[in-house]
Amino acid sequence: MLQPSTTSSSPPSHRISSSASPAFAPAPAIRLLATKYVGPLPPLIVSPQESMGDAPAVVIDNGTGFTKMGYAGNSEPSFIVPTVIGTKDTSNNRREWKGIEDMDFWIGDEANDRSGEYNVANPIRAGQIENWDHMERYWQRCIYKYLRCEPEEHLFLLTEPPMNTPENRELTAEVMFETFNVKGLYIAVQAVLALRASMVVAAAANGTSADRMLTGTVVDAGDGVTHIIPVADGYVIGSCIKHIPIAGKKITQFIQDLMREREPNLPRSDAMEVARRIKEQYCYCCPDMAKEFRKYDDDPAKWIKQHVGETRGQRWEVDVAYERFLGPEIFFNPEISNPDYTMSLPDMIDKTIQQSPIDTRRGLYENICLSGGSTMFKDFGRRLERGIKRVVNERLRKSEELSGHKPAPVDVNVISHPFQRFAVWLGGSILAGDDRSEFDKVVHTREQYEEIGPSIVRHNNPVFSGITL
Amino acid sequence: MSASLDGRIHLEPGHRAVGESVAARVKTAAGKREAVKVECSDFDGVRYKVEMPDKYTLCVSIFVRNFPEIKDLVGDKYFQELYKGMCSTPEPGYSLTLKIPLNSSPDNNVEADALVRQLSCMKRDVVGAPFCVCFGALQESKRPPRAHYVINYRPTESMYIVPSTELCVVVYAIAFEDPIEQAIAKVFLQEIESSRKQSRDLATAPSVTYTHEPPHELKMLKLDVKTPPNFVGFLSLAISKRNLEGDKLQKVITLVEGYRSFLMYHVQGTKSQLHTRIRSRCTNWLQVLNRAMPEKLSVEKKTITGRTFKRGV
Repeated sequence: MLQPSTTSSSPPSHRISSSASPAFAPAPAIRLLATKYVGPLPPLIVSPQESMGDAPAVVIDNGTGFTKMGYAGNSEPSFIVPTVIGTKDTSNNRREWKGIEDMDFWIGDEANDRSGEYNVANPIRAGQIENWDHMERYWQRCIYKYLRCEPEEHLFLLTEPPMNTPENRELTAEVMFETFNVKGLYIAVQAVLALRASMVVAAAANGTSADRMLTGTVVDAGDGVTHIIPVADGYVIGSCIKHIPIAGKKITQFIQDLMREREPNLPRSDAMEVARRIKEQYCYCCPDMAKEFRKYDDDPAKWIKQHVGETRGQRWEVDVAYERFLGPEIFFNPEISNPDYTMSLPDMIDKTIQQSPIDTRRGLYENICLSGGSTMFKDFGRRLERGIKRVVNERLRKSEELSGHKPAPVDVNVISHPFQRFAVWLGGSILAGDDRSEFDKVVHTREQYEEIGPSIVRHNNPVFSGITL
Repeated sequence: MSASLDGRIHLEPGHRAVGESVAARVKTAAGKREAVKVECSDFDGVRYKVEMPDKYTLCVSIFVRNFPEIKDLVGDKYFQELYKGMCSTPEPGYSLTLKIPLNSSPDNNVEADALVRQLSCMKRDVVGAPFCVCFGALQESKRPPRAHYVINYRPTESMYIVPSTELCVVVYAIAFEDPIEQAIAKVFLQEIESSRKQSRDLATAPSVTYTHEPPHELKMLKLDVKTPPNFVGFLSLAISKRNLEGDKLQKVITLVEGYRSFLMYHVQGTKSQLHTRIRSRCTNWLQVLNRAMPEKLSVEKKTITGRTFKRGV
């Protein structure tokens, strides 16, 4: 039997009690937005009567690179802003204060624009909150300037990385309840939300209702690290989580290195920023590296793109060539950028699943879902699926050779959807919007906090009818 | 307060999310428009919905708690004139719905920007409508149609406007639920009152009084003024004609209408600042404590059978 062994697991009693809960509610349909107008949108799941009494919950997903925030029930976050804060030195030394220096800071793009005047820092590193002072102020601006809500009247859904410490969670609760007096708080595991979002989106695309059982592997490639997180029945299998040190920043760095060698026109000062833009605009995953090189050499005019930019009034132009497919390729052949590291993403996913409890493995292979900005490359999902299939089929062949039995084939499915960039946020929006009645049951309220204290968030309540986050 | 600090100290008049989703529809060509359905909240329990019911129409709806009351104060016609040709039957659950025909939306950027700004500031314009009426009359040294205006904009709190030809007195009955916030808000309001009196730079600012008893403007009206639970006090601002000179009218309405949110923002900002100080004090004290720790911590301990085991590390 599966032994949930993770920081986020609740006592097993939760599962027993909740398995007796009434029949599963029909899965919500997600309002898919087409790029062009296709017709009236399907009706909202939250009926007006319900939403009238209650203000919509606020969903904030603080990632290492970007913060996604908005109101639950929407299909897109209202804001995606960089998780950076720009402060001044004087704000630390109170003796030099003349007035209201404590409010003298900016967040997001507004901070990046003023990087000369303010010290721009990142309050989150590798998914974990590093600087609580900065984070508290960051949230203050998120709530008042961006979302414009009174925290006292809204429930809040925040997210946490896998393996977050209970202490961090309690500190988050302390800030949320003590500073902002939020009406209620729930801290959900990012991977589970991403899995939920991908299942609902996939089900909506097929016209079926989403399976309420949350089993699958989440590949979360953001800016800093790539996590591979197996989830069985809504439990994160903590002992099997794997990381690979390749993510958005590494790819950008790699592209920058490639271009620096070749392109003298590339502006030195903001080369990283230019590389990032090139990565987002031109990169894709190729089926075969050698063939792709030949394609470029046969017909350069077709494949090599020109990128034009402007730095301090100076126009420059660079060619974008092999890096178009070499950038994402480091997920699959990491040795091309770093000779010391050779474990590719498909191999690592296979290894993760092989280490997971044996009765969950088929489910984990069947439902590999993508989340995070660095999974957005064209054909990334297809390439990943092929890579994993190859490893799996090889193992099945060997097993057949050794035993003489033909094993049942293993279904490998990588699910791509257009919302990968903010899959975690979308999962949160579904949980706190469309499944509002369930969310109301699991959220930790201000009354509970005042009665018991921050330890209420140590364990999460069961959610998704019969499933624990 | 220097103008350069504006972006951090004051809250904006409009809602960014509404503004962005409207702008993305108004400023793009018909073929590229994306469907939209966005619902979001604003201060004082206001809710917005931006939606496209069909390809050529954009609907912006707003829910305001005390909308019937405001409509009664400023008259039915007010909003029809303010949003000329846009008003339509309110959607269920909302107070006011504007329909913007996208095929006749402005081509040039200036007009489009103005439309976006107008729609994103709906909360200010609707809740602040009585202010607009009173201040407009004050600018022309006239009396507005009513002797006083009461806006019950929050479940337990109200704003009172007492206009005259010279001055317009705005009184807020302010309450905060949380005892810590009550304390900070009290200090904050007292500070505002005293710095208005002492500082020479603020000589042109509206005069401010902060009292526990209803100010005499309210007493004279013999209104049934209920003090809400968790009451903090009455704050009254006397806006004179001079405060509205030039193009300041819009700014004054924004500030006066959003005063409660502004206060809340700063009270919670102060709390953050206090927490920052608590944290840095804690780290300092912990350092002192750690330094004071005796050098030798581990005295070898034995079990009853005489065996030893290492502790710690």
